Amino acid sequence: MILYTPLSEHDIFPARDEDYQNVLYGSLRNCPVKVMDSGDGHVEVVQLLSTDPQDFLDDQLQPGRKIKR
Amino acid sequence: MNDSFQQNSQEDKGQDKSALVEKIQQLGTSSVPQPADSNIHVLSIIGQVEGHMQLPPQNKTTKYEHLIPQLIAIEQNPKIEGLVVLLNTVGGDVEAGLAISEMIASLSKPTVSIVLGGGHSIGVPIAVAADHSYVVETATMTIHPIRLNGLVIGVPQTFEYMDKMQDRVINFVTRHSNITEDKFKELMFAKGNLTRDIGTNVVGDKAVEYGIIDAVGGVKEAMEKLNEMIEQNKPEEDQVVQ
Repeated sequence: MILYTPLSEHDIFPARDEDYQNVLYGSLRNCPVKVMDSGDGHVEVVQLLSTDPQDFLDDQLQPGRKIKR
Repeated sequence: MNDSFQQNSQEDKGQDKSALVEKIQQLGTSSVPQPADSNIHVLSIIGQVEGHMQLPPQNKTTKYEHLIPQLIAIEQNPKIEGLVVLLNTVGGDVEAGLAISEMIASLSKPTVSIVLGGGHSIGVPIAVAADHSYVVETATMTIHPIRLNGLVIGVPQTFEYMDKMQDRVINFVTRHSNITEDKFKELMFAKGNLTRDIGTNVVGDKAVEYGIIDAVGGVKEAMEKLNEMIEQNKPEEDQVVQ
């Protein structure tokens, strides 16, 4: 199916509530992060929200890394 | 240093945190940047600027409720001497964008912005909010009238409100850059430049020519300028007074 519309996709197909629940915000090693709950007691780092450039060099905080909750 | 993930929630009660920090975390916003080795902090404005409506998680967004406490922390933390704002944004919520712009413009510490890739729509006021703005040669900035999607109740009132909102954007940009109001409006309402839309797509050096951005340059130029401004910003007592 092709929809010819200027509307954005999420205006036509709203996201499910579960999609929002898996995304968590918190802090890891004193750095604010956005993580995804992988459901097995681990969280996966998605994005660093820190303004400190040194945090981005920390290999414990690289996106994709899984950390126990 | 705590290696485990701590979620921002009501149950999260860290012993070593001050009441203020705890409050900020409970409100679901980011924690205060800790004193660190770097005296320059980086704020990246990426994806869409998210305002009152939360976008689905697959969207890359910049949330203003995350940025504003960080900007307060940058202002308060004496170890931080300057701020670099990196922009690669498609735009987004006007009010959230203006909030971020006003916060950056009212910081007492030197600020520099770099437009990389794109600084479209509401990215324009954010870019000009810094004390000195740079654009890389290949970056583009789309200037267009503000728009609204969704259901509209009360068309004349909504039109008036949107018109005033647009004036706020124009005023902010003209106050914080060298472009004149007439020129900015001309770019904003130009026809025939964008496919099926009103506005202009301004490329790197053109943005400098029109006076929106201060100079063409990348990281090197921005860091040199920021360090220079930090030196000028140092209080008098650092110098020997006889």
